[in-house]
Amino acid sequence: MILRSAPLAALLAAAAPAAAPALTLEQRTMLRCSAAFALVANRQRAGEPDALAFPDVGERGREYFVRAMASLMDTAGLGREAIAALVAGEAQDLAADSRTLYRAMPSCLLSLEASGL
Amino acid sequence: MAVVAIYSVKGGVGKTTLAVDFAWRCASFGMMPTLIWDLDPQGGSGFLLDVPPPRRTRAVGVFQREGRPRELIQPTKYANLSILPADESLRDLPVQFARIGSRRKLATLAGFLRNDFRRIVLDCPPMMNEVSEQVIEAADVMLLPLPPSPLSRRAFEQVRDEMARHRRHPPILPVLSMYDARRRLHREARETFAAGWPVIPASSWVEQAAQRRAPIATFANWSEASRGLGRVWSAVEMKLYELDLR
Repeated sequence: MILRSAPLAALLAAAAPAAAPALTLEQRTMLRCSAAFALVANRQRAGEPDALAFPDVGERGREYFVRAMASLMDTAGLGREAIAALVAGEAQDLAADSRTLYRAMPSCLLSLEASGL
Repeated sequence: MAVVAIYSVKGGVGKTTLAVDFAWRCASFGMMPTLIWDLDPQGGSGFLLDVPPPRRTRAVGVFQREGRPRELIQPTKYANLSILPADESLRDLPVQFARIGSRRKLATLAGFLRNDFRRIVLDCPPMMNEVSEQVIEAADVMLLPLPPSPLSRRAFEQVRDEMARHRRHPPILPVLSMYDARRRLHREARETFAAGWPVIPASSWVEQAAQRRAPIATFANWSEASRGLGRVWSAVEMKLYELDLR
């Protein structure tokens, strides 16, 4: 799958999103949590103590990200570039301050568990 | 902080099992300080979490003047998860609430615990009275587990009508519990009044949670029942995030 080989950083650094399409609550959650896992995994690799307080989301987070992107392509009919732009927008919002990112994590961890990964 | 009520006007729908399961997932998977507040005099939540019954019956005292909920809160054997256990004194709770007059006593007390917990899960007694009035005022989201049966449909309609009487009420998430796809009546329920509801399949693993006195995810997280529960709670968390209750 194309998305599996695409580096997360490249996706997160994609161009600013165009007008956002209408997404369901579940789709918005997948986007937000994909971005959150990518950011937290990066911070965990960098040894940031607050990020290390969460379980390691490197591998499972990456798999969640891949599945979420594939699901969004199927269910929302979005192309790869459009999804990358949406994730980039989510990542920007979450990365604006650490508190926002870390407060998003608990619900994302429940979503990760519910995904069966 | 968010208050999530697990409520049903019918008994035997898996309400306490769900309340304990959600509280445990918030505490363990979500790593959030979580309180399960058992309002049902049967005290099922404490039993399922293997918490010794309170020595003195004084749970209703929390709702009296000068009531101090923190004094009755106990840790459980699970990290981040505390319980305010029920006891038989809660049989008097409807009378106590009627005496108080205010519909917001429970909401006020939950507010006192805002700095201690990020999630408060209310395990509600199966009745529609002064207690449910308080729950409607206190809850940010209400989850209604209902098995696929004609009586459940009626119960759902009763709750919906009750909510309509309130000027403001929390979002309601009905859930089809104890679903068995082999049964025609269950399939019909899923195709009619319960279309689109999240589903928790009937499973012996759910029954074993009571037998083992432990949340299902601690011993059978791989099971379809646990996965179904996980999806329900993920949906609740999505809603709370959208409501800015993180």
